[in-house]
Amino acid sequence: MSTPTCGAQQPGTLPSPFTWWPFAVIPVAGAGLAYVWANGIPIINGIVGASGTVAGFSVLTAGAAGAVAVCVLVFYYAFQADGCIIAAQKGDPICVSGIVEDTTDENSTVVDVLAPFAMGPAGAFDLVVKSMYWNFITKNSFWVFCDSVGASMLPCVIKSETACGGKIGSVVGATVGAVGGVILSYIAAAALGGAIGCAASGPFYLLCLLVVLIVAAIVAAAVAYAGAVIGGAIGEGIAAAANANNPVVNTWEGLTAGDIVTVKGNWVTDPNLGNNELLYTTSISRTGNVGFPPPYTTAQADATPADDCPVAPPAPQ
Amino acid sequence: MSIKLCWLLGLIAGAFTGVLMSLTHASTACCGAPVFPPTFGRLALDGIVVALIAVFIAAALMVLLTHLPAKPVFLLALFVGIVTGLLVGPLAYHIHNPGVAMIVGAILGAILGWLICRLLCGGKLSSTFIPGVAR
Repeated sequence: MSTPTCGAQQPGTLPSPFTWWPFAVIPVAGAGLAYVWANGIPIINGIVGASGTVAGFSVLTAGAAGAVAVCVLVFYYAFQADGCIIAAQKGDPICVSGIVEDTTDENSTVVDVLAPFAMGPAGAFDLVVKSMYWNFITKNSFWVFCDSVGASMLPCVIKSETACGGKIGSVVGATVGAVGGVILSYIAAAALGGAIGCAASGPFYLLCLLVVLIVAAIVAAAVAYAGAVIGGAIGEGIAAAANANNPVVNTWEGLTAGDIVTVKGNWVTDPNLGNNELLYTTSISRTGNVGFPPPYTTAQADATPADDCPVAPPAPQ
Repeated sequence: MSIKLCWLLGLIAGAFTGVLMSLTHASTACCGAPVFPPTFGRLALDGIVVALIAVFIAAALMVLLTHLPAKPVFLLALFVGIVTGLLVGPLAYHIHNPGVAMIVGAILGAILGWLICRLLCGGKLSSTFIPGVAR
């Protein structure tokens, strides 16, 4: 097989599917808000004492709009096909071997704390594979990653069970927070409306109403978001305690550039960039270190000892 | 930067402007409240305020979650918010059902956001800001 070309592999651009979900969410949310505007929210009506088809329910509707927006955001990230709530992209199980070029810790403290529902994988490492495994890098791919000396690399992604816990916790927290947020937003808006005297007549009546509605929406959204953050933090804590001895994560954390490894995982093509990768890595077997710093070449990878992959890779196509 | 960002910002701005402006109409048209027929300018201004609040919150979350550069995202949000609020605000005020106003505002906002990017970037948005490509 000829040496893989670095960068773009195929003419044209990566096929990008139409993003349909906002156009599905908007009508559903619109119908829901229309219902709230006409009828209120059954149990919450009683709790906050909202009545009437207009003034009381309008504030509830504004609060519901803010809460729904946060729920859509949280659910969008939590229900990605990343192997947490929705199964990850199904690929083929493969085994490859080579030299670790670099490792990347993809944890972000800011995201962990402020948006636990959006946490990504634990990290990844780039593997300069032996030439016999080039097929796994180029087949059906739109992009090939290479190091600075042109050796093609296969990204190997490490799953974060902590992130999965955070996502599940965020979904629960956002749902609970949305309900609490609508209640609190109604109370806050009623207090604000009374304080600034929206009932009074005047040319600023419309602006006054708008301020009350904006406050209702923002309070509900803020409480729902706080629920998601708190729920996510709890979920992260539980998941971290339950998965403290994950062998793949522990081995990955100990990897350094130059390590000679045999890796197994789910082989897929990344839908965003078009590169082939392991999503996720299911096994890492470290057998040594080449003893000098990167970058590494394919020839150096080929010179490493025989790996323990059970079968030869398929013939190039 | 993906063109998806443009219409998504427009959709968010339009949806919120639609809901809240429609709700203000519902509240002024009842209960014996005194009616001051709002001018187009007042409705447009109110629409812009709502759209800018929604779109800046959305932009802040986008910067946090996608690691896109903050300045161009907020600049784009400013353009999208002003145009969407200006046009959707007065329109949504006259739609009496907030659910319908939300749907109409969202669709109109998405179209406006897409058009703004076509006009500002000529439809040739760079891929250099796509996270990961530059690695």
